[in-house]
Amino acid sequence: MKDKPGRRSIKEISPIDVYRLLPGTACKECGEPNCMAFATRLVNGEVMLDACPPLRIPKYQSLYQQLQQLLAPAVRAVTFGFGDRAITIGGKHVLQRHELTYHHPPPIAIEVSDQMAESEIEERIRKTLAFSYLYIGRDLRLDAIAVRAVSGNPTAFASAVRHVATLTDQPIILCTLDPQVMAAGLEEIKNRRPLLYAATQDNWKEMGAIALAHQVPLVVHSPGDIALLRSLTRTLQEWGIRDLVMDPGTYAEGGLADTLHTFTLIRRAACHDQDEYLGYPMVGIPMAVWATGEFSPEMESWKEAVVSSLLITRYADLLVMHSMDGWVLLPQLIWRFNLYTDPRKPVSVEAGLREFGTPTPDSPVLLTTNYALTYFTVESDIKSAHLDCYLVVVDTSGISVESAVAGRYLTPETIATAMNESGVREKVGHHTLILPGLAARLSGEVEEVTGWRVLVGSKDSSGIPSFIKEHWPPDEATD
Amino acid sequence: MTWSGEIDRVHIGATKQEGGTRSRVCTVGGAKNLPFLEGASEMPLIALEICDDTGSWSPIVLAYTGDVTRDAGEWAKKAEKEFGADLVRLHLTSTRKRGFSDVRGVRTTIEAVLQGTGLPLIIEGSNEPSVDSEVFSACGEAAAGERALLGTAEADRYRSVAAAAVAFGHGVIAQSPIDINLAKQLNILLHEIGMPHDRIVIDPFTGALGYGFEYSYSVMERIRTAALKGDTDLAMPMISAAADSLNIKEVREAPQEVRDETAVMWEFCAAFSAAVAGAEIVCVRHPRTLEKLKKGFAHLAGEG
Ligand code: SF4
Repeated sequence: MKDKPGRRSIKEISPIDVYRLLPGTACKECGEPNCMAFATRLVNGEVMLDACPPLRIPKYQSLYQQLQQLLAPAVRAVTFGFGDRAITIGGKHVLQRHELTYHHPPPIAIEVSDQMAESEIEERIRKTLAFSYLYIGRDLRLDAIAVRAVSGNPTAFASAVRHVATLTDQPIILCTLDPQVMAAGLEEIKNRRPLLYAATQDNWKEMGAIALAHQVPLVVHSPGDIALLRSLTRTLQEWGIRDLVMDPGTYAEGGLADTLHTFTLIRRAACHDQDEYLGYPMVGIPMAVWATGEFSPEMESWKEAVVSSLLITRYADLLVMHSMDGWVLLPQLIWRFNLYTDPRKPVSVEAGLREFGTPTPDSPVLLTTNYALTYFTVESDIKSAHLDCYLVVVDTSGISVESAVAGRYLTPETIATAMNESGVREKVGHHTLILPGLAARLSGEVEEVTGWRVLVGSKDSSGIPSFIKEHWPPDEATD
Repeated sequence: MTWSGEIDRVHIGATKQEGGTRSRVCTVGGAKNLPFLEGASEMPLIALEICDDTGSWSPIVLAYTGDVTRDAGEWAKKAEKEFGADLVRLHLTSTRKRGFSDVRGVRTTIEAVLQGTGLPLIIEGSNEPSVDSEVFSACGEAAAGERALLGTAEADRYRSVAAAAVAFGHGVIAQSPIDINLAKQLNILLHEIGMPHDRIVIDPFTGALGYGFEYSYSVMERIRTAALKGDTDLAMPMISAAADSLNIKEVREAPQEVRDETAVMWEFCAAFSAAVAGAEIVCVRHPRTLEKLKKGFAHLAGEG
């Protein structure tokens, strides 16, 4: 299925090849010291081409185009929605995350239908917009709305779409297989670049014409039939429609194995065989599990969660979901965020000294590592207890306390260095350090190296408030 | 892709004919390609974790499981008969208390668990160097002939557990802190002191979802890829236990009416993704997670 044997994966491209095509002015507008540094970060997938502003100058147009071709991801990046709410999906380079990094976390669209009461639509959109969870300093949210035409009636669909559009400026997916109904819905929001769902074997000509006329992206739906899917994307691509998304079919329960297999085969074809007709983003539809409606909402929610968890792990670039329960959505949002962080860089925060509340020279001194998850957990426990204290953050290359002790990133020496550099010695009048419980085995040596007395704190940072209450100020007699 | 490597097969549990008393035994390993990426994949086995001192165990699990949690033997029985586990993983949490000395109690517990269930056993001993030697040899001996898996060997304290495993014919769990190179080094160390490769299971350390799980996920993918490329020091089956799942903030602070559901979902998502990354054994603590995983794996195997 190799179509363009000349196409190379980003991993096979040398920074020199990229450097040759950059303006070479070392103007530093990209934030790098020179073009070579920028080229290296480009092939590492760490920055995007558009971060080099000079490339947009007309005289570099041909270089820009060559670079775009050279660095094109195996899976095309497709954008829908408008303004600063627009979202990009796909843009993947690799099959396994550790080979590079995954780009563009899959947005989650929540579905509404034209048969729902207006109040229900309002309620679901209100919840979608309000959903927010603060996780290690990031706000995790839901991203889009999918409007389904269940009525089959163009007028009803148009009015539902109009209603939705007044309630939210999030990106919208229009869902119907009937071109007439689609045209009616699209007419309402044609300037908002919605994603059209979907073209099939039967309607692709009409749907294609609509997408082409309005320059909007189009989903190609071919459940369980990769060959047909590929021939449809090929036909549409040759017709001039480049912003395509594929729906290979999502099935729960007994169909889960096939769903996983299909998504995987397609992504392999794109990333390994550089098959450009399968090199489009894929949409997973976990909400499809609700279609049968035979079971309790709780069971349907579970099925939906199982499917979405699997599809986030394996290759969905966009998800359409029905359930709005926190216990269903939260693990998905966190997993999505985690999976799409750059595996080459541990998520870390800056090392150094943090002050909480209004600490005095008598306040406790705690210590932790600069792994973001560890740090933010400790921070939130300290803050929620309104403690006045100092926290020394040790640079452990972004590794958690337990692993940093085992891997020798957190040692009596690194602790001593961190304490000296943090300036905490000058801030307090005492010489007592509270070490995380998981670093207990270092306590003796830390006392020797730093000359401070060590208290072994709780293993879990949730125990910090009660620990401080019980042990602070420390017993003078033993100090 | 064609690979040169293959994952070692590790047998856990021994029947009467093999010198043990297990009514069921299992084999993990044997993979020749990447899980769920290339052709058919074996479904992972599910171990239910139990313990002999519930002081630090999730109250959510204790409340759901009920009174049997006071008796490891009964708990193990229920794990098999009622919850349908493939293996039982016994954590000897009693050994982790300050000033622990009741080695005889450890033997009694292991005997009770072996009585209570016919499933293959994973035994997690102490994690305190001063009592390791005594505890692990007691574990090894109490389960002699049963071909259990003993845990946990780590880079700076593997001798006691490995010695007990070698002496009494058990396998070991080799845990490294989310690092492929450290995983490899530990396997080499274990091999050097007499552990055959086919009695080692790699534990790459699994963080809870939201608390580093993604690093565990990628290290599992990397270990499996290296093994298939021919690195025999990494060609062992993997075990994954996101043991912290039930203690994290998102679960602890979930609204009362959905706390149980949240706990189960959290354990489930990590175990399910670990399976996709290549884990051959996944461990959970909530009985309902076990039930959900069994269904999920059956579906992944293409069964209705
Ligand atoms: S902005 Fe472009 S031209 Fe300027 S230094 Fe960076 S890569 Fe070179």
